[in-house]
Amino acid sequence: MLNILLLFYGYIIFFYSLALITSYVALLIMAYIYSSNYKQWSDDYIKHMVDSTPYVPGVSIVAPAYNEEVTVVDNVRSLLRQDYPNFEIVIVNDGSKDRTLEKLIENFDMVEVPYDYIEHIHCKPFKRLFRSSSIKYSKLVVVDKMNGGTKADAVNGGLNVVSNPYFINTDVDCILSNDAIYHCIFPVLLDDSVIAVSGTMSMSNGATIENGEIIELSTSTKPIPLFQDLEYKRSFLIGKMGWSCINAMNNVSGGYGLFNLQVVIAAGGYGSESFAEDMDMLFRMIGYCCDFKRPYRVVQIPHNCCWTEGPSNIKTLIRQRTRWGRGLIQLVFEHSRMLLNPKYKTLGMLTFPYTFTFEFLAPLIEIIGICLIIYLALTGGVNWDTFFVMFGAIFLFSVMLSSFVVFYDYLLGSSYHKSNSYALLLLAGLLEPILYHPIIVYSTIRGYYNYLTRKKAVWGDMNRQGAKKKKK
Amino acid sequence: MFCSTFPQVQGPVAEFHGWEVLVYYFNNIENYFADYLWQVRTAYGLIIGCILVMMVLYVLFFLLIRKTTKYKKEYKKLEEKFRQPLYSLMILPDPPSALELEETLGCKIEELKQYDPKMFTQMISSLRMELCEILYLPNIQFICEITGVIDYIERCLVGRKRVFEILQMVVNLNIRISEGELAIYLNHHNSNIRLMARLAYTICTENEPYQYLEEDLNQKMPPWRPMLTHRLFGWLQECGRPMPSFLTIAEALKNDQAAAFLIEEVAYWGNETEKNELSKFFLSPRLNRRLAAMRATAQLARAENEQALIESYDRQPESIKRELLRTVLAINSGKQVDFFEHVYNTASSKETQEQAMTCMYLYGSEGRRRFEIIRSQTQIGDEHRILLDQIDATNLLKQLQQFS
Repeated sequence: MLNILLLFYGYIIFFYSLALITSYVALLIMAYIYSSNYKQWSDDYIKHMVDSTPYVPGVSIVAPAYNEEVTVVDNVRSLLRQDYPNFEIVIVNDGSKDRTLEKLIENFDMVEVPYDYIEHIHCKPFKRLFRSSSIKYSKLVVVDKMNGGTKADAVNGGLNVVSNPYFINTDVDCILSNDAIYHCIFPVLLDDSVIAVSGTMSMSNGATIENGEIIELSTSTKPIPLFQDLEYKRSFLIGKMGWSCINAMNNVSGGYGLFNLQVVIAAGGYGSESFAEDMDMLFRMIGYCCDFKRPYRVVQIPHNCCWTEGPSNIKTLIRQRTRWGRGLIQLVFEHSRMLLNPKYKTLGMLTFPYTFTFEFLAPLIEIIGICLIIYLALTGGVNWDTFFVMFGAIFLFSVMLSSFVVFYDYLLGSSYHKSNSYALLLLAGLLEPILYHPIIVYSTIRGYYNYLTRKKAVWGDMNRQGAKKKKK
Repeated sequence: MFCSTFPQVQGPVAEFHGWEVLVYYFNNIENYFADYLWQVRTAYGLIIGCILVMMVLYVLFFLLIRKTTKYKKEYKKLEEKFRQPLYSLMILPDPPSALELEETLGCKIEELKQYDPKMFTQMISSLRMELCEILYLPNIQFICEITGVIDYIERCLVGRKRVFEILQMVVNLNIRISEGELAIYLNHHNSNIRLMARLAYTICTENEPYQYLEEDLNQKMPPWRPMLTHRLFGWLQECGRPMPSFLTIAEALKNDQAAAFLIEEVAYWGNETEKNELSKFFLSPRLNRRLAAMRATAQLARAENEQALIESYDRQPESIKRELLRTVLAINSGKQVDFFEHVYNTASSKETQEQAMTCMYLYGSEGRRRFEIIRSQTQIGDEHRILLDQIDATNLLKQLQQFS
């Protein structure tokens, strides 16, 4: 058994690592090509075109809210500031136990209106609908429903009420840029086969916010949000942008994404039982399009449209990543029919196998590898020179990748107002493989374990701390 | 002539020249790792590769930061000096005299050429954005000439630099450049460049502006093309240029979506004859064209078309019936309350019923009175009652919002 493991890790895993490195290099190059082509379109031009014609498609922003009394008013104000000619905001109060609904009613002059609710997608029972009596908030709709236990259920409740052909799924604690809808709708205007658009997201933990608007943006100086910021940027600017180049995206983040409502409803809406409801939704949308031979595209845009508050301590981070790990293994089992199935095109033949091999299996391979190294170290079986060379190669590659992430971010328009933010990100790139990555591996394995042992899952509270104090 | 700088050894001395030096060092490195396993050699190769790439990357990063920071500083200076004056010139209804121009700008016209025209392009584009509700700005051509923007654009097109960006600028600003510079792009293999060049051609030419319209409209029609074309038609009309024959082209088009778009455009830019002919599309074999004709009729609120609409109702599918109801509401002749009630009582789709009652509610005092009668005949808690209450509440709220 030991010899088999040694052979496996000596050769197979070496090729596995080389394949992973090659894939990252390919994604780097594709991301650059895609974002260069995309940036040829002038922002002024896009806005001018949308503003001056009557053919603009309507967009609904659906944001579930559960126990968000601290931040809901500011965040809804930020959503209302969207500079797009035809949109509505649907806030879904998902059975909050605090004063979330009361705060909304008081601050936005909401009144209850009769509503002939039709359940296009199943969710927990609808209770009431509120609209504003003030013209300032005429675009705001609040849906009050029973708690379904998951974000997916809450979003489904909102989708049963929206009145536009496209919707943006976001969290109510996310802060959107004023032109977020413009940027997200543009790929749809270019090609109406686009069924989902993913906007780039960043952390708001280090930002200075006033009245729901970001005044100054910088990275957090705390380690956990800083590492997450780098991780998010790597995921969006390299991973998703690269996959988008060949129409092979496998996920549109639940924090911010635009979707075609008709395709979402046809695919059955968000899965209430899923813990990776965003990825699960996209798989089902693509599955529907392939099953019914409907052309589709899923794109990533290089614009930073959305800022979200990430977990600021290890405990909350582990809880979040355990849930994501659970969602990943659940997704692999539930959509196994798509794996290596040519009917599902790039998703079935490329992205899903990639996800399975390099995302699903990776934590398992890593944890076994670490155990093996520890065993060999204790028994004197490690050639330390070779070990450090191998470790150095992987570490340097990781640092190089992080450097490219920072470079791309600056090239695409520099998210941050302060230049030391980039220095902090580069520092995070040096420490991430040693300090942060093991936490993620542990959390993911824990998620797999919870799924396999059918442990009862609870979403838990985010323990929001808010961004930096408001400027006086 | 290079000599090896490795430690001196006894024996014959070797001398290397030019390329041989690199080969020598390469062989040294290769021999140094020759005894290692191929896995270790690969790892070393990766380390060296990463170091080299990062060195190049950081140099590029530094240069990029320097270039961007310098550009931003200079642009800010230019903006502080010229943004407001250019804005005030842009909104003037007539071209200013040379003296007025120099007074407004605070400098001689010749002095403008010393500044970077790329920055002026950016500034004028952002000013155009601020004034996007105004379709036609008569002074923008003149402003682009004196600031060197036209020359810059033409140089870029001749030099094939940033072609797509430049063509967008021409279409966005609606400025005329020399047609000759567009010639090589009018049949470009890249469809986006080709379309943008043809739109720019429509703006720039005095000859035959709609030369490529039919061919372009027969291509695949993503949503941004009608938006772009609509805006362009608006600009052309404001300039006093003749409009194309929308319905004639629509009937010749194979692309159904494009034909529907042209039919709908009649409402905005069509002549009286074309507006009168919209009713012939209400029973077109193509459903898109029916929808487009109804939307155009709604936009125009033409009472002459109302009877043809009502008569076509029973021969429409459900989605078109709802559009038909909205069109009758938009016409608002005051004579169709019975029609709305008939639709409510006979429709097989709840959405159509909802639309019918919404139209009745908004159809003036008679429609509102009939709505209340129908509502009073339903039981509280009945699904029809909830629907009617919803319509009433939504519209009352809209009225309340008007007064808030």
